[in-house]
Amino acid sequence: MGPELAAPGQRRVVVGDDDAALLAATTRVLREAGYTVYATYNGHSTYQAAMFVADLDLLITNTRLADLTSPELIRAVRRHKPRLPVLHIGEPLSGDDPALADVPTLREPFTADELLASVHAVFRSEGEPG
Amino acid sequence: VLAGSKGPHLSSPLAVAGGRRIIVADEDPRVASFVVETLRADGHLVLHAFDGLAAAELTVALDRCDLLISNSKIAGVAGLDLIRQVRERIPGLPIIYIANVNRSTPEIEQRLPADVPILREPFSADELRATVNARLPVS
Repeated sequence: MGPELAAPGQRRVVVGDDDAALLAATTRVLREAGYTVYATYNGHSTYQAAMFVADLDLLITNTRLADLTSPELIRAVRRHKPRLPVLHIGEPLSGDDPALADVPTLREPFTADELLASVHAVFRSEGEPG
Repeated sequence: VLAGSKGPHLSSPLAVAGGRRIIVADEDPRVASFVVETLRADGHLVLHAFDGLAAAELTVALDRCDLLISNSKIAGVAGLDLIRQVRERIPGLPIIYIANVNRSTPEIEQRLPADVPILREPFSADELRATVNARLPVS
């Protein structure tokens, strides 16, 4: 059998990256951990996915997005979903924007365990079980 | 709140209400970019999913999806299975299958649903538009 669509109740994560290898790795780790992963290339596709997936639990975005930087993407999504948890991969975001103040950064390179620990930490800070 | 805000021109959900929502599943960046950019230029809202499973997940997660475009590179047996699963959730969803000459096989193509057209590479922007527009709802 091929891959199966997610069962109801799984946490929903949008992941955006232009790097196919990193996107594949991130997606695989999160799927194996039981998340439903909406993996998208480039900033505009990631924005649309983050906007249109209902009951989204987390957005993971990378500064490398070619058509849109992570801060631009996060600000745009949070105009509509101000409470959406976000995990940023790459260099730390500049600290003077209140819209980005609560966004944690996962520096590259990272291991699967570090990725999952960062995701769990985001959910813990939301007051929910990881 | 948004007035005067800087940054990229992102379409808001309201601004794209007239466009069609199209999900493209294609792991060949060259073909995908051509398909995505052509359809975006025509005013459609296009999501480029990373792989077939992400495309299928997106298709069923959106409150509305008008078309799924899947490439043969990811539409092997697993791809066919995903098409079947998507159709179970959304019966009648328009789907277009892009056939790569090196990867698509008669065995795969024979197992596609009868109402899924095959767009063979290489194809022009006009051929893409014609295939897409024939499958999109009119209103």
